[in-house]
Amino acid sequence: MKMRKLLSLGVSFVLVCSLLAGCAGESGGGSADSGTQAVQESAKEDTDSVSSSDEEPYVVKIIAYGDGTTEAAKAVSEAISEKTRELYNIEVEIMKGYTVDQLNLMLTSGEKLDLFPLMTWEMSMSNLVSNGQLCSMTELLPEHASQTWESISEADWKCVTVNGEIYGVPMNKDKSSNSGFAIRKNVVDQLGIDVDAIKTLDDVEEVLTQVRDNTDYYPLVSSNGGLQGFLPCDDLGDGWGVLENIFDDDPTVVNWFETDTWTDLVHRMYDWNQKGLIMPDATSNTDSSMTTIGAVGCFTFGQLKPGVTRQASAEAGTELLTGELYPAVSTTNQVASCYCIPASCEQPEKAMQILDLLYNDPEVANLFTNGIEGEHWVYTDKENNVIDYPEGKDANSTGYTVFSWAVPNQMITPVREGDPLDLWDQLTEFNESAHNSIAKGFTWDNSAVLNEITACENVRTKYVNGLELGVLNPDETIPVFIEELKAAGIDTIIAEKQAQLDAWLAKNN
Amino acid sequence: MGKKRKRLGRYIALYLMMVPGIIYLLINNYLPMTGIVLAFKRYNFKDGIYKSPNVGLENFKFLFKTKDAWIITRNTLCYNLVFILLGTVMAIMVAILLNEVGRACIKKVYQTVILLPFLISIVIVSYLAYAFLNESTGFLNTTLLKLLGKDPVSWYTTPKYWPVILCIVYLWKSFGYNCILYYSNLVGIDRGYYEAAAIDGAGYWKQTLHITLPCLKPTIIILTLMNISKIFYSDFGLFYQVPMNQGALLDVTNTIDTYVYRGLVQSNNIGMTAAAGLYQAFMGFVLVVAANLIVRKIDKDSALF
Amino acid sequence: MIGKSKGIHIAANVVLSILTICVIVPFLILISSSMTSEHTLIREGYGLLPKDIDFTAYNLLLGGSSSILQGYLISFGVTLMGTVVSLTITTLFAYPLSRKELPARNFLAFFLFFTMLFNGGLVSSYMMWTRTFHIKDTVWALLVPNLLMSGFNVIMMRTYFTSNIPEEVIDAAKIDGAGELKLLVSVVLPMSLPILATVGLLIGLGYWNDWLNGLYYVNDDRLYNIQVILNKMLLNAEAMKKAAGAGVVGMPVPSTSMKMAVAVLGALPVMVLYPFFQKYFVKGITVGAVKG
Repeated sequence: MKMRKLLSLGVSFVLVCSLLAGCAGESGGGSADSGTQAVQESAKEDTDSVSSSDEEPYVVKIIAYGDGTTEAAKAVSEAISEKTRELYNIEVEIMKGYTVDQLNLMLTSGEKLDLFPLMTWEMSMSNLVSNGQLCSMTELLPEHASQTWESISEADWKCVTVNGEIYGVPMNKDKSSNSGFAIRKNVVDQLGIDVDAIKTLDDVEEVLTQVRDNTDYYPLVSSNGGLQGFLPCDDLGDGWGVLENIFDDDPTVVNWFETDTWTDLVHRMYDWNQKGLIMPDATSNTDSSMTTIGAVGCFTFGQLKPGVTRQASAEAGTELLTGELYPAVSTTNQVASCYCIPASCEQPEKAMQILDLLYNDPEVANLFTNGIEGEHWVYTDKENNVIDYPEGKDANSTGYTVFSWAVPNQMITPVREGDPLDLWDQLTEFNESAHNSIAKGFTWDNSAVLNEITACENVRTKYVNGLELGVLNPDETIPVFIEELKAAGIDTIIAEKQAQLDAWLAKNN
Repeated sequence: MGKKRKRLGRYIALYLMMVPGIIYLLINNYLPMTGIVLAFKRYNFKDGIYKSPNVGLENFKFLFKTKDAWIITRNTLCYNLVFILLGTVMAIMVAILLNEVGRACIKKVYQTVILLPFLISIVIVSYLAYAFLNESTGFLNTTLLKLLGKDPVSWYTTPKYWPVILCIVYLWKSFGYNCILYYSNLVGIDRGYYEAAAIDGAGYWKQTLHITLPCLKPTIIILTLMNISKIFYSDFGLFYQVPMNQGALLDVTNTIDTYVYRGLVQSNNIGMTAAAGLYQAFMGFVLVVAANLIVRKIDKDSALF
Repeated sequence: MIGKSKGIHIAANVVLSILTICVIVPFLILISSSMTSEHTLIREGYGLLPKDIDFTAYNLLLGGSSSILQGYLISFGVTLMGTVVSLTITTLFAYPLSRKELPARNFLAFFLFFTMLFNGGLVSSYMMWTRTFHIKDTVWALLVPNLLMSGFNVIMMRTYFTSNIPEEVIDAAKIDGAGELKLLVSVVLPMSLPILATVGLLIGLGYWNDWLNGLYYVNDDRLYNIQVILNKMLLNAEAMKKAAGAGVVGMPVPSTSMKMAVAVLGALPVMVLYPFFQKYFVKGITVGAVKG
């Protein structure tokens, strides 16, 4: 009896659910229809170029890199919309907390989206272009974003150009990096090391030996099971076929794992590991190098930029010092993180206008980056444009945490308390001082050799960390490694890349 | 005539019951299945999924290109075979033993504990495995091997231990789930059978052998058939996260899923991803249809379809 | 079982106790490491008991801007609703499949089984659910895609019906003039409590543990269930780790203790509630000795 009641309850529940689903579907469909209608209407009237205020505003949906509450995103969207409605009859809707998987789904399914950030380490622009998922900006830029168009250098535009078309507006952040190392300050003080005197790997070895002999810290630590890269090679996007040394300006694409530079490094690492200069279990370390240093380590290689010492110290939880081994270089990948318009965008010119505003209007850029004054941030020094979190709040609790380097132009936003006042000038100077790779601006399309790349990627997993952290004997392992790479088709990849690079160089020099 | 109509009426009632399920399967599973065509396409946003250019079997090539093809297929199949065998034996054994525990409260404790591994994700399991296997601070090296007076082992660089480690982790994580399935069938066995057997003087082992196991047979067959259908798949977390993606272990840990992941994670090539999935599903399909045919020959009622 | 010896009892307890220890030890490590600071974990490794008590991970998870309590409530609601509906649909599908005389029974079983093997991939499901059914950012997104009925559960239930409900019982009920629905509700289901409880448990756990639907189809944080909240934090941290790997320095990276704490917070309610649920695992009603 009880069972029957339960069952009839269940059946009626199903009925109610299906009814509800019907309603939800209808209302959802309804609003979507009216949305597209409005779009079509506004598109029709757009020939007048000036849109009248009684017309329904176009909504530009933009993904912000970072997280926040729905409420905060709505409030910030509304604050920006207030301005854009007046200027262009556009409303802005900020979407937060998107992962790269979701973004890929949206791009593939053609869901409504007008602007999104493309990070070079998450997505490949050339893959998106060859899938037809991006909207070209070549014609939109001079017309609808002239200010942005003029303020970015030609070299930087090249980095977001594929097949002669521009597909993104590069983020104005650190666009180059010098490589070097980070070391614990307390060890430096204890052993009386002169950080500025460390210039070569031999110097590094000497320091590591001192650390091994005189402290309890592991000398060199790994980062997530690998060695942080620091050599000045241009990986040309994915490391399959590289330019061995950026400073040589040699456009020959070579197999990195066959170069003398890499072989020497691996032999040195093997030697270091034999001497006990590398942490144990280096290849199965699941933490970043900074976290590891904070706990047990002393030294790591890494990429540098202005302000990095403070950031790295904060991450490690202990004071660090940094030093340079190679001066700053700039490659495509360092510039190519950018904001793009997906092919599914209905009115790319409107998205372009918003992007222009985000790039040039300090007020809008600040809203987008930091949120609303008083709620998500407060001025600590209004004159010098310095801000901080409101009292009693931090990055985790403000409700609006977009990453400040992942916005179109962080250099027109205020600096944070604790950063040098001239941080943006330092950064600009740093970017300009960098040595440009001869292939800077070249983006490669790997779709023709994906079979080979998959095979090579599996071979790389097998050997690289073990070799670079000195666990595997290079004399025995490198020949096997190279042989397997060749069997997996590395030469095909390199030939393809060289052909593409040569064609690009011919067109651009 | 009337009888026939009555029977027809019964069938209609039965079919009506299935309507919600059929509708759901059509919508949730069959409609999106058109996406399988992606496996034969060079995807392009402008043309959409269905109108993108055909490339024939091009997308499948990367699965068979190198000598890795043999290794990943071998690993996937061998691990699955061992998992099916050990998993079934262990789950049945535990289920039978669980049924023998007299006191209700102790039984509850066992039942809850058995379910625990099922509640945590495989990523967490990989951290727990690391807690045991880490060379310098791991539980095995610092405690267990020391007690036995043996030298510490560098687990993450020694492939020969990993087939065993992976089996243990798999069993640890999954036995509770399978066990509960068998257990529910076990407690559902009609008590009358045992009473009758006891009157006939059958002892415990005889009862297990002649009543319990035969009663579990349909479940064993069905679960095995379903496992066979997934034999070309591997639990990505088990083979990627638990060995920490260690290069040295790749020969014994690389499976079809991890191989594909390493190659395609960055390029997001949905055509090749679809091709890999279709290959796995199709091979499983062929095998399970064959196995099902054999089962049908022997015991028609236990067959899957 | 009847006529069992005491030896079996002891053996059962011994084996199960060993298994219990094997399960519990890793869990102690899990809990203790969720309360240990990252630095201690790296330095001294994992232990059965925390070496220094440190609640940073829990503070970060519970003190964040997103409301954990609301996440729990959504999870409970969705799990309850989903389990009821799903169990109903599953039972209604499984029972006719168990009736050997039903025409086209094999075809329907195949129709079901086929869905367990072949799928059209995430992209086409996503397009259908978001563009045809508009479930994005609605509660349906957490309930409907993939979770409402799994072929596996249907087949398990069908197998139980076929092997544990004697045909004689059904025939007898038929002769008494019971309709099919009545037969199912008043004869078959009361005899099937163990499988109903088991499948219900599996469905419930499926809903409780699910975060993929939330990840793909929900972006309104008022609809985040507990797993989505917890996993989003890890995903964000993971994304930062990737960025750090690409040379963007100075990003917070996920700590191991935070991952452990996520696991504890996600599993805790189930561990607490499950023992109360277990009474439904009682033996099905004894059906006299139908066969000898």
